[in-house]
Amino acid sequence: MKLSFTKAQETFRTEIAGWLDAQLTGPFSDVRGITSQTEAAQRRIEWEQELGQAGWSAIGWPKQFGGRSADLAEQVIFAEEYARAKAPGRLGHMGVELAGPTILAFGSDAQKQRFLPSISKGEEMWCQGYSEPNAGSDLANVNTKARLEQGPTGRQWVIEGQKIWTSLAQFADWCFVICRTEPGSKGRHGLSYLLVPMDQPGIDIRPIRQMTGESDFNEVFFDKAVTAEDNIVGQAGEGWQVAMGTLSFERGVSTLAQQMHFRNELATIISMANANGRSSDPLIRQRIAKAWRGLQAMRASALRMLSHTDEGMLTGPQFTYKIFWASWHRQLGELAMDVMGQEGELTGSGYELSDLTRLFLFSRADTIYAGTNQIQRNLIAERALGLPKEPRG
Amino acid sequence: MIRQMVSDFARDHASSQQVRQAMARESGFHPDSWQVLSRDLGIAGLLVPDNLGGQGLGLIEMALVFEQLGQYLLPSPLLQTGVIGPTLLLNLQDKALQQHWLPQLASGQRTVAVARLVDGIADYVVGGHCADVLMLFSETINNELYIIDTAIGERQGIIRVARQDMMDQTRAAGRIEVLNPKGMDEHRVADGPAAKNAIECAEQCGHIAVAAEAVGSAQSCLDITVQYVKDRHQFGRAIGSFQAVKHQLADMMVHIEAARSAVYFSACSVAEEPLQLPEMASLARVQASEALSLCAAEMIQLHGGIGFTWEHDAHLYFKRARSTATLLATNSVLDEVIAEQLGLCNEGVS
Repeated sequence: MKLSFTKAQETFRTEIAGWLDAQLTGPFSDVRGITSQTEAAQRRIEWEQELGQAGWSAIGWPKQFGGRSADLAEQVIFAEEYARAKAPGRLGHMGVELAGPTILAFGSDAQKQRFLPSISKGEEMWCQGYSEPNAGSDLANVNTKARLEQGPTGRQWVIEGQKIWTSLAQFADWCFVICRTEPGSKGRHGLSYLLVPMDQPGIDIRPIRQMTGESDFNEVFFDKAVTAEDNIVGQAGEGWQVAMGTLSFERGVSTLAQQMHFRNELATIISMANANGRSSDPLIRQRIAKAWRGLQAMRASALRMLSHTDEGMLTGPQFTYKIFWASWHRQLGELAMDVMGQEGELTGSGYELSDLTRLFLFSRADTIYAGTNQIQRNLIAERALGLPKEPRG
Repeated sequence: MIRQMVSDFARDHASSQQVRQAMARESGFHPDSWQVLSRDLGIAGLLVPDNLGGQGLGLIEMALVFEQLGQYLLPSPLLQTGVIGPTLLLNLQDKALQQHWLPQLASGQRTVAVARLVDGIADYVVGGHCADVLMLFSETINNELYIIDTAIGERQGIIRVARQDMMDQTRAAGRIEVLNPKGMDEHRVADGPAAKNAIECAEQCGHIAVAAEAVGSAQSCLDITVQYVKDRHQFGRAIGSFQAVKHQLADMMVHIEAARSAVYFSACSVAEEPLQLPEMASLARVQASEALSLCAAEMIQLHGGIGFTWEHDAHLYFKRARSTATLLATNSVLDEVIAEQLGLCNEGVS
């Protein structure tokens, strides 16, 4: 397990850190430190375009599609510096981290030419149409349907149904949607992976107000929404395999950036404890130490996943990482509240939350989305430990 | 390669029966298996430079050895003789001392016990009742460090050692008592900050080895229990098909993997980030100790009645977990090391 970087990599680090610092203390100082999904959206789309212009948006992609063909270590460095500079949360991440890599892996040449440059330049935003009211943990139970029909400019998919928990839908130009294209099919069979333009009369977006009072997620209704016949990734009926490919892209280098964000949160909690004197409470001291241990264990796990030094055991942290970070982060929210005391329960007018109060409330979602803790435990038990499978319909 | 070597050794020398035979001995370990491990395989000298009869390897390799050995519960003097003792000597920077003692330790020819004296007594010292050489540190006046040949010390009436029967029978321990403090003077080898730093560093490396061992033991708890719940049928199905059982096992794996990552990380950091050793050692030890405590407890629970018997090995892991949580320092003391390194103000303590 390698803990340090080469000279060339450190030079790369200096370059990206310098660029980020110049932007975020200069023309984009107004978006620095924004963590909520929706705040200052227009400026953050401009920020995506600035990243894209400078070639920093999708550095791991091939150069021909607007990337830098950066290796894993450089991607890690970029992710770390991005978080360290307190650059804003990426409005483009659904495109850069999910749609783009899926198209790279499974898409046709024409799809790569059409979609990848506009993602890496920050010109088109994306959202993810997976979950449905009756397809949460049981994702294969999607019921949104699509059928091929003759349209004004050729054959097109006509989509009907509802997606839910779609973050960033209100800013997205495109949505990647799993839907049922074989009537009467069930479960993982008969699904397809479609790319659907968002700006059309057949699509209705309704924000969901969540327990923080904010709206990070939406419901998206498809009522005879359409997309061209060609806008299918992979073959019709193979959507499940393509979608699972996308989910596996969700882990990787972005975990290290996430950890940098966690580290900032822990640092805030520590300075708050020092400021209000709760740092002298032995229980608080111990809980902060434990939180730090968890953070280091996550960093070490990410380095284990990224390096190949512990032969044969590489699968361990890949199975356990999601439940570990989600549970850790939820506990960090509880620790934050205990450090702040009653003061932490104070909100601004209009239910405006401090960052740590929002952490406390929002982290209840961490152990639910992207596979609940219960689903994660099933996956670990069945796939890593080889225990008998749950019955599936 | 080291992993494979140690794994082969364990297969031949660390069966449940062999573990129980070793722990029934007064010394708490079997001299034959120790001879194979230390002399034949050279494991006792892993950290000792090659010009002093060792292999000149680092804590990463040692951690891999401990992880393998931890899967079994074979008692051995390796922690003291292969890790804490040599690290203490290497950190003292006293060439003559190193040249005298390190070859003897590296060959496994003599075993050592390192301990801290409080008012002339060190209790519960792992291997302290039977070590050939004692390395004793006393903070009281000026951080004196003594190295004394046990047989000579006892013959001269300077010290006395006695076994203490402990709950974890796989880690035999004893009391070391100074009977004649004046007699200790001629055995003093160092004092002041150098001695203090050396013992602290040695203990921190010890924490990492103990942590690696605990990860191995926790992995065994999981592996043995997974096999059991696949085999054991109730209500007409394998009990491992019940989610209540599966989810416990999944949680065990989550804790083990986090601890394993923490241990590898801290073992690597010894060479790459030596200034962070105190908190990294605490990280590894507490993380691994907590994982082992959870896994050993769940091992008993998921085995049901058989897990409560003397015959089954589950209680040996459970008791090992307890001794791991207090060895060299308690988990809460180690968390306090982290709290201080994180800059948490503590008005309450002067």
